[in-house]
Amino acid sequence: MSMRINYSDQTLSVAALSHVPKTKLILMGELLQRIGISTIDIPIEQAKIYGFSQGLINNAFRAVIKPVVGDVDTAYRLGFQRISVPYHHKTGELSNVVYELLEKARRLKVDCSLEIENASSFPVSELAAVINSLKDQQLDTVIYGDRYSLMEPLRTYNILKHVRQLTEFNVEFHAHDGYHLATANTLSAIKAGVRHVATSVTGVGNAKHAPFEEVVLAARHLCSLSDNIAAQDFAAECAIIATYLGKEIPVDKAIIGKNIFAHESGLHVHGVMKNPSIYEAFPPEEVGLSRFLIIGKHSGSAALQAALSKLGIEPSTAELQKLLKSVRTIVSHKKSHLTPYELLHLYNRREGGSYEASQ
Amino acid sequence: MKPANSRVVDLVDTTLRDGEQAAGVVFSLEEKITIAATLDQAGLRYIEAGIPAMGAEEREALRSILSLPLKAELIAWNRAKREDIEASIACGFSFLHISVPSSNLHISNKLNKTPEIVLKELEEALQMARSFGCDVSVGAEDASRADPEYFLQIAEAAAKWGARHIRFADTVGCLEPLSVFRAIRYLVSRCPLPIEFHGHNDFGMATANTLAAVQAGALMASTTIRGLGERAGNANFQQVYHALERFGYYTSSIDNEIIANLNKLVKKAAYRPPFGKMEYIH
Repeated sequence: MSMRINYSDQTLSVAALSHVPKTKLILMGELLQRIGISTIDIPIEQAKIYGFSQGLINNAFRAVIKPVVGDVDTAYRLGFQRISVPYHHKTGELSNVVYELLEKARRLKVDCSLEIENASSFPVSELAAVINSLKDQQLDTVIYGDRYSLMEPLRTYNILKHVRQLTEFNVEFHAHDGYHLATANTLSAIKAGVRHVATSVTGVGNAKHAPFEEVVLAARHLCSLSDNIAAQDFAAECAIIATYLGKEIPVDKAIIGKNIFAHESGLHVHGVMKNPSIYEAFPPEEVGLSRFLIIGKHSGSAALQAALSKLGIEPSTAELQKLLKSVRTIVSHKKSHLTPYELLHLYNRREGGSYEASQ
Repeated sequence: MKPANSRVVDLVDTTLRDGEQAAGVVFSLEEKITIAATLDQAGLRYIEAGIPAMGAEEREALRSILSLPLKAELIAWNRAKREDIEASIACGFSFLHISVPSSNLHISNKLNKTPEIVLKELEEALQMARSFGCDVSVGAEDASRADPEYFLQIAEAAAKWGARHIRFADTVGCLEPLSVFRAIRYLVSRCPLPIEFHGHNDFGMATANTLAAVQAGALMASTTIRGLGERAGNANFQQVYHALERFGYYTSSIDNEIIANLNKLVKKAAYRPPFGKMEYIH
């Protein structure tokens, strides 16, 4: 099973709901598509407010409508060829409106995805009955929603494996991140064979989603799956998208944080200099980040030597040991690392045997 | 309140050790003391306090932490080296964590050693620590990429010298929950010691991996406040605490206000700017 993973973006929806200016919204849509995202969800109300029409809407956009027949018409008239219908299931039979809506979509030749938002809230046997009652309908995708973050990865794997066997429709998994398990749940769904997943950049969203960048890299490296995603500028692109939303990427954000390839501790720098895979799960270039070797409290002599060598200095072992001691003292007082210039300054003051003087 | 039928999980806080190892982070003495005291107030049973072998100043700071009237057990981090053990004992620790590499990548590529030598050094370090009457635990670095049989050999050696538990470190955060579950379940059935899962967040799954390890039978887990740690950080205490509780595992009832305090404290103490052109590029 090697079909590539299709990502359904939720970022643009969040932006539209938080009234990001139209120019930014359009740029965001273009950027997301350039990255390789094939589905971008947008609530129909927001599409109307932003004046989305034929010119702006291409096949990547999927209108999220309310479960009313009239909304299918509206989406069609605006120029959407794809719709997604969030549906809150209550125990018992599928509501009639779903059949009417699917019939309408069929006549208008609009691709329809049905999201059972609260799929994780009832037993899988009940879900099987719902899916079974849809089997003669023209439906593109059934979306398994975990609206209330009820899932954990082991259960997600078992259930989604089962759901996939129940139906011929595409199955999409839509995680929410109430317990910080969304990435892992999404990856479990992928491991169970699901090839459509809903994510948002950094996981933004009201009920939070699975962070797109985490799922992409995890699927690549932990499931050996290929994708159509261009990740080589991920860090910068995700930062731009975050800016549109008025957010900043934390320096240690998994996959795209600026400092996640910064190494300081002696053991780690020593290892990374020999072979980066000793302490890195993937190379920084893959996401457009750089590796930094930081001189700080936990630095060892190997890192210090390497740093000095870049400055054209080859200290003796004794000098190095002495310098290391001073570095530790100084950074403890300064409460931050040393830049190369500060290190050079420190080295140049070694005469007289006292580095401490440069505190 | 401990719900019926739920299993107790002990958390080992390593904010002051692995957390401070985040590049560019240095805690002041006052910050260390406040963090340690608040962790204790929160009811954490184990606090990994630091690395005495780092130097005289570090030992002085650690002595101040040791002198606090805490309920938590304070643990010193060590390599399997005589000088590390000596430093920890000189500092006044009575609980030593001794860490050894366990994957071939780390043993041969990083250290040019053999698995046999690593085991021998571990036994010597354990013997030494025990001869001073210390409690010990053992850490298997990069266990996620190690041969499980070698992990078990390390565990056997640790058990022989009376270690209280063994740490399974997903050092580069390269596991996902299904593989964690499989790996830990296998080890739990064969390992003579309780297993502590130590997760990193490189793919954003440290919390999920920790939960999976507990589901597979790990009795302990390491966390840091706000997930502070090397690269993308460690398993985040608050997240792990809530996820474990949500899925039926009991840690200890921790006041939300104290958690908020800890988060605030560590956020401030661990501030570092985004690195850029000023730093060394390898």
